[in-house]
Amino acid sequence: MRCSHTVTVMLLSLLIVPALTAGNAADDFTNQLISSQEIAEAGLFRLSDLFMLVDNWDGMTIDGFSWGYSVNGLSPEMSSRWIVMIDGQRMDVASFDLKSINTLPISISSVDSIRIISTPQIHEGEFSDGGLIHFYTRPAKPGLSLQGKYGVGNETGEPGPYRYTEYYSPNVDRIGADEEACIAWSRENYSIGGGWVYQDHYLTDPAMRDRCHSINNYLNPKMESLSYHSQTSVDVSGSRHNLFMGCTDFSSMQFLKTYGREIPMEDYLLHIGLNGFIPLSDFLNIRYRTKYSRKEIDKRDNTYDIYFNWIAESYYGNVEAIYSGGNTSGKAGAGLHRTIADGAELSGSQTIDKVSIYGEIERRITPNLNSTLGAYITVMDGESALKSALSNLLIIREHNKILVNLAFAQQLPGETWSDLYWADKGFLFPGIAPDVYSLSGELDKSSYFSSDLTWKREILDNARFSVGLSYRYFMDYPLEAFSVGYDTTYMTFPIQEIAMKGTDGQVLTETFSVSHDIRSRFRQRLSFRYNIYVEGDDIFEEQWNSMPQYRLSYTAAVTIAEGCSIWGKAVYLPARDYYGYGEIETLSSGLYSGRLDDLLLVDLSFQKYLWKSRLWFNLGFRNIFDEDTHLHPIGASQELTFFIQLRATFDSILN
Amino acid sequence: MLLAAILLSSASVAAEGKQPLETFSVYTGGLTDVGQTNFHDIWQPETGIDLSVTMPFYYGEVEVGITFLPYSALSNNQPDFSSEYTYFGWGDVIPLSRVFDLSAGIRVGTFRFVFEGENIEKHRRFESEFCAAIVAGVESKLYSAWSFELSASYVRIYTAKRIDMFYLSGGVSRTFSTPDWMREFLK
Repeated sequence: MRCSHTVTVMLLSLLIVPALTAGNAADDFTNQLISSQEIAEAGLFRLSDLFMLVDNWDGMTIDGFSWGYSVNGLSPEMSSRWIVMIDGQRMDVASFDLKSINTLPISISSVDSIRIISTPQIHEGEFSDGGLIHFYTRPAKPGLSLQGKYGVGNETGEPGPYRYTEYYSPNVDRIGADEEACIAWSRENYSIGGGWVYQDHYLTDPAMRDRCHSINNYLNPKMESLSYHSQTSVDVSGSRHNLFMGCTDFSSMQFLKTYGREIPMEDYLLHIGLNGFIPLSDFLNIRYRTKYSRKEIDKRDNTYDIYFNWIAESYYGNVEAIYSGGNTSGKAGAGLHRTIADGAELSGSQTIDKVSIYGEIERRITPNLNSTLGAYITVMDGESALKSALSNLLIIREHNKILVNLAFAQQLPGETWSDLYWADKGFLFPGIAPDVYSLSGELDKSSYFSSDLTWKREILDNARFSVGLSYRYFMDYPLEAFSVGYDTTYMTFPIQEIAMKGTDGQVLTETFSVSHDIRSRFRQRLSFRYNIYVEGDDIFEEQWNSMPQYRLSYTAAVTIAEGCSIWGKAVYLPARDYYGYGEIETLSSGLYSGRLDDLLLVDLSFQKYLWKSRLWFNLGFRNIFDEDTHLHPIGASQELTFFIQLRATFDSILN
Repeated sequence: MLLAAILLSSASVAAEGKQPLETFSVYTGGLTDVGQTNFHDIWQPETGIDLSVTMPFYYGEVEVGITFLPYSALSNNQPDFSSEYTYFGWGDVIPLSRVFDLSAGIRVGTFRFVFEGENIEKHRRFESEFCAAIVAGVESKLYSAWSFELSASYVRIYTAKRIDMFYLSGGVSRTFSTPDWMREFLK
């Protein structure tokens, strides 16, 4: 029954796609663009908070700082595959299975806009297998610009004066304070700027306090991130070149499944990237992207002397020719990504090359049909993978459009950069004896077919709806089979074995949203998404069902006066059983549970600009109903929390 | 509900003819906590000071304020502390008669405990918690720009074991025209 449903969807997709082509004209149709106004209005505190504004993603976090995302059902949240970019340069934020966009060397207030790509396509020389987040930084204004921000959050649930009574409870520390400062100088054909960002995050939630405290030499456990960045842009004879340099020193204490607990580490990221475009004629442009990045995981003192020593240096070069003329445009490019990994845990330095060749053609077949076809070939570790995407935008009327996106993508094990990939390369996790723990299974090339059908229509002048149907068919998808125990002495979650399995599975997602805008003074949006597991292997089913089966959200924003608004969002997620943690409720005598309760999360934000928009003040409230907000069985639950942010921006001084 | 409150408030602002940001009122008064909860079995309030600035906003009125109120422990096992309650509020005034106006609103802020005692470690001397309150009161014009105000507020402090307080405050306020530079700053 379910299979026939799936086949119907596939056939429907093919019927609606009469021609084999697709296009970037569909970009704004399928991609979500989040503006700086929306970021400010919602009072986003850190980069990872952008998740609050995206309705087709599922997220999980253990510590509240690092997040895993399932982007539009393209991967389970526990094996995130998204790519992150800043101004056209891919950032290497991954450390094994850990990815934290908060370690990027920019802050949320230096972001001008964010492009969220939730369907497979070629973007800036990359193929977005598992989604893509692209941050565009604030362009420098003419003259001298200065910006500074201070923000702090305070989670409720502290002992207060009851500390000195029989009602004593442990302390729950604040979030932040986060600080940042930027300076920029711009003239007609060049700009130069730089800044720093400091973030502070305590791990004092009751769910993690004791195990973090015990490994942190019994000191108050916290993570700190200090970043610097500089950016130089030059325009020469119609060409534009952008040099972005950034580094982050992240005193991390993130949960590593391999250890079943948080491990203190020093995590360094250095990124030097140069990209730009050179116009060759009215029809032909050249884009180029180069970068050097260095990812280092180093020693941070801890009780059990678990010290990482790991360095991965990456060199990347990409050239792309872009043709545009008449009804047809296209691009073709090639890139080489070389990674040299070294460290005490590896038997010797290892060089891994990834070569990419790709092309894309976009054609306006009729005034009402726009199509784009892209193909992307990756060669790595002696294997090749083909990725392709085809999208067709059918314009019925100006405000009545249908888009069909079809993709088939293979993925090589090295592209995931996972713990298991490096274990396969000979990496030994420090402090773990091979007889205590083992990794097994084969890492093979995986593939998937995806189909996204979206219909958007304006109902009235100020209202529109969107209906979508997405189908995913994963083949040999690598998932980790494991079961978590509980050690009462160390309050950790040991795993005896992680076995890699190539699994097959099919899922279907239905979405519906309606937006309403009354003269830009009052905006509201209702969104509903329903995930249907169709069929597949047992592990695939269990891991897929760890994500919420549906998600209902409502967002409203009221503009009280110019520069003054109230924003609110309510999200409801149903209860679910989380894969691998089924036994911990019994083992921990009810302290933890593998079942995540249903959740109603309501956030509010009030913003006011002062002094002709030079000052920005935001008061934000998260989880105002004080719900249990666990998004992972052993993760923190953020109780009612309030944030205060103050930002000062002085543009065009000395202009 | 929020939208409805704003629309109602908008109507009342329009009715009174108050222009946003045109004036501001400085209030000072005395206050005490008359709550009777578990917390008050451990600490007893003394008399404190309440300071606030209120201004007509695009809808209703906004206010910022701070209260200082010391608490004495009833037992030697607990320290005395001073409280500093800093808040941001929004509310509205509804005319009751020629003499009296009724006011109601909400406040959010931080409640800071400053513990006293030689045995308290330095880093334990201060604790800051989120709090929210609902407030209602009456106002009466005294003379020219002077008014007399009485208010009652129910304050909830979001500690692990919640603390509820019931404040009574009384004092006078003086209304000033907002200087142009301040109005420009606030726009």
